Amino acid sequence: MKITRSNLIFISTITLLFFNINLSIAEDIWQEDKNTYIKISPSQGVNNSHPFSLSNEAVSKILTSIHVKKSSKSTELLFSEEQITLLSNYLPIALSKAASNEDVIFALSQKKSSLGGLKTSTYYVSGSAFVSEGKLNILIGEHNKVANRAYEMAYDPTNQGIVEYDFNFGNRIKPKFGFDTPVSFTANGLTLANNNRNDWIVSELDVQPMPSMAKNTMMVSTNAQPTVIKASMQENEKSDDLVARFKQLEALKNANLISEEEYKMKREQLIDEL
Amino acid sequence: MKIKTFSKTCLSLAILSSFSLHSYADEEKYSWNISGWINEGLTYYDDGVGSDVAQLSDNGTTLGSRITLSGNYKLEEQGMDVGFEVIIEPLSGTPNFAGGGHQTPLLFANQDNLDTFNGGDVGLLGSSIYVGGDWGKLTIGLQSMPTDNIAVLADPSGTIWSGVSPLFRANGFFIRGVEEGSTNVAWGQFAQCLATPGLGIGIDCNGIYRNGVRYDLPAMGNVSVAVGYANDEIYDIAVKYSAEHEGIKTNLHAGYSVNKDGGSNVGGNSSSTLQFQAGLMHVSSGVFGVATYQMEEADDAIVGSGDDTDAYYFKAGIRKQFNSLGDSAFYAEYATYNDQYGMAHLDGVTGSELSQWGLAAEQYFGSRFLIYAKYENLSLSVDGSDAARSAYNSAKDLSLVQLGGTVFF
Repeated sequence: MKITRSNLIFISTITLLFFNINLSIAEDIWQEDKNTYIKISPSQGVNNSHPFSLSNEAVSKILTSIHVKKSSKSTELLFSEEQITLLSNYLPIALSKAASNEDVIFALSQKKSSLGGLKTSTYYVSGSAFVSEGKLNILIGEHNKVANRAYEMAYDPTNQGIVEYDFNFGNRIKPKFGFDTPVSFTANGLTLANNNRNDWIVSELDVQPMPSMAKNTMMVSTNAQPTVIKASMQENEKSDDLVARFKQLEALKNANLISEEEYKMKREQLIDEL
Repeated sequence: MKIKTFSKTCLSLAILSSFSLHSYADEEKYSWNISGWINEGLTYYDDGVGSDVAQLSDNGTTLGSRITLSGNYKLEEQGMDVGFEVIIEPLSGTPNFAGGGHQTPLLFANQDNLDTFNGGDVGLLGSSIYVGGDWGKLTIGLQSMPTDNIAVLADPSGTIWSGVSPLFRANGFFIRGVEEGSTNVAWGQFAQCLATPGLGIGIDCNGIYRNGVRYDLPAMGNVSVAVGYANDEIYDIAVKYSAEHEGIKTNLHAGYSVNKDGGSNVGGNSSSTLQFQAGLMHVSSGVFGVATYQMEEADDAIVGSGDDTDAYYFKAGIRKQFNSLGDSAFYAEYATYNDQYGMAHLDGVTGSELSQWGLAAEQYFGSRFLIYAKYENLSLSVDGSDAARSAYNSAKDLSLVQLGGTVFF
């Protein structure tokens, strides 16, 4: 190949690019791709009660109790079943590793099909979580933000997953145009913060389901996911418990909180229980 | 003949029936999707001699309206996935000026304002299959090659449907004010690419879908690399870097391509194209900026014709939510396309500078819909023989005002 001015410039540039591959300051707790993750991120000027120990079950109970208005007659869970599983597994790990001036931020996806399965759209929920004064706080930045699949295919024609969306992770100062969909709860111990801000949920760490409320919500919700609620309320069922323990074990290993040997040993014990 | 057609119809119906009886979309391992966007706009032009309104559908080859069908099948045992992509686009119902094939409507828009410029045909933009795994991804077929759009889409603001680095909107308009005999010279004549002779878009010169093979290496942190080989002896490599650091989103793109068929519009026998684009955006304030550079060189160009060109494009503005509808964006842009005069060397032109500047406003409605308003101004100056300067330096500026909208699905 002939050495020309243009190819010399090109080679110099890409060499420089490789010197600084990752500049992100957020610490990854779990990441599936550029737009689906749970991270620890600096939160300036606050004093959270971190690090904090919280059980997976407590997080699951809280998250399965949060519903958002879907239409004038129905509600749906704020987080999907898969998102609740992820947050239940990784949020406790993140809170146990976070410092007092750090929040846990998350962006989680959910695929929804339409046109008889011919059209699949990806929707994101993003926000942040932190523990303060003995309560879990959840700030909702965006809900049901739809991915622009068409743009992704133009920018990233071979679908390498390099399109990165800008998510809003919520803010302690009320934003002018933030998430404002009405929120309801199916458990005692959950409230909206600061003059009923729909984007800021404050929860006791041990919430108790409100049977009548849960029942009503399920009756009016055409798209509620009863399996999630059931899973939360009947988490002593052995099969669910085992699955949760497998996922928890996997999460602990991924977060380097247990060694490879400990992981293998515990995994074998769980398999024996099957 | 009729029996053959009937047989084909029956066969097609049988295949379609089998698809409808067995819904692959319900299988977890198999997925397919329909996506795309439709863009429509209304343009007012003032070419210095006359003015009128021209309805322009589409917004250029890069981001022209399209319907994309894609599918994916996971081969779990082999650790691979395979898939396909077919892209259909509206085309002008009128052949191009050289009597060739139909192209995206915007490239034809001009003072003639023919109905058939606005689309009257449907064409295949892309059709490809791929195999992917931990080792990367191999794509074969009519597709976007690595350096396609490499200096176009690094804009982190995403305000690309109203303004990108290539010269699309004014491309087909005739330059007014030049001497009689040259009146049918279009603005795109002074934004001619060496890599793709006849393509007068200034930047993104290797930016057309080509039949080829593309290999995407596994992503390395925030860096992705792709290499390609396309008909006929076109090699390219592209690198993309994307990261956010201390609230500043940074996109850096670089691409290099060699086209053994390029440069023929200046009598050469090959060309190389180097492209860079850098985009920065301060996420919380929404302030952003984009800088673009392209350089092309042709080998063995005939004496008197330009054998290298360069082009620059800059954009700066703000994208932020100011109202309850969604984000609003305001920006200014400036581009200069230098020495891309192509065949005008036959008129004695030895240097040219086509300048473009614009102002735009966009309003987004969530992620599904946006509207925009844009003003653009184009001007031209040339160097060369007395005759060439006399012919072209009296060119009138072209002004365009476009109101458009894009729906994504």
